[in-house]
Amino acid sequence: MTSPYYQSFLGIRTETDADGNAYCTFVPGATSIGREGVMHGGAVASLLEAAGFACLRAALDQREAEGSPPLTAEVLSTTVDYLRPGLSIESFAQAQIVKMGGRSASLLVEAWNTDRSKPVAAANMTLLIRPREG
Amino acid sequence: MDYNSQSISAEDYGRMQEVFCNTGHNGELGLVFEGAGEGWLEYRLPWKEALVGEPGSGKISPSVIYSLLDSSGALLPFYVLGRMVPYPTLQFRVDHYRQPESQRDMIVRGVSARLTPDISFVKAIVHEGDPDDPVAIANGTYMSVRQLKK
Repeated sequence: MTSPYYQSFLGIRTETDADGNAYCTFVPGATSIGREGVMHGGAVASLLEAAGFACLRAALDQREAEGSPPLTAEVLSTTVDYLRPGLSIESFAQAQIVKMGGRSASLLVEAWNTDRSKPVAAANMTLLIRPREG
Repeated sequence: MDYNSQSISAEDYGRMQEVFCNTGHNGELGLVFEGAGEGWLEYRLPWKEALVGEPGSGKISPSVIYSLLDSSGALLPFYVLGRMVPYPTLQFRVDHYRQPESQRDMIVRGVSARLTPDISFVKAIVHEGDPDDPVAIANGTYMSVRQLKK
């Protein structure tokens, strides 16, 4: 996968919820600020993309466990809708797979501050799935 | 204070870019202002290890490329209107045309495609020196924090 290193540098962490699904947590520091008290749109996108990658990675791991050769994925496009100001407080994101085919996947991802029913941003990610080289 | 009358002087632009590039998320990335023209702004992002996605690949993360593109459009209304009018991002789409080369600086140019009192449409491109060989392109929609008076 092509994202975890930079995301961990930002301070984004991947966890697993009670249902076994991956999600991400983020405590934004001064380095993620866009304007006062609010995260930079790019930092919000980084959180969304981290959750997207974590979700797809779990699905690829499952596919490998079922006998597939090693797989990797790269993002083709990301579209983010900014719905509310992303407050610079502990924030969360979780993705769901809309469709995973042999070569591509479409994901929906949401990020929220304190109330999951009031997302600060929602993303659609399209990823290319391919065999892992080496 | 009349929100619509905060005109910007030439020195203000320099100071504004200085603050924009050196604080918060942009400061963390290491954004450098390169220049401005008729309806466009250009920045450079010097390569550094911390921006890499896959460890050992040397390739800047797609999330960093997204941030660069988003930032390239943020100040365009200030330049086009000559006024301090914030337009936060409403929607932003990035298409990753190819993987970046290892250990390469990124150059981003944001172009104001259309600007109204409500909305700023931006087209932006990231490349590594050859604009005809883009790493990623973006279409962004930004909305003013309140509707402007004509």
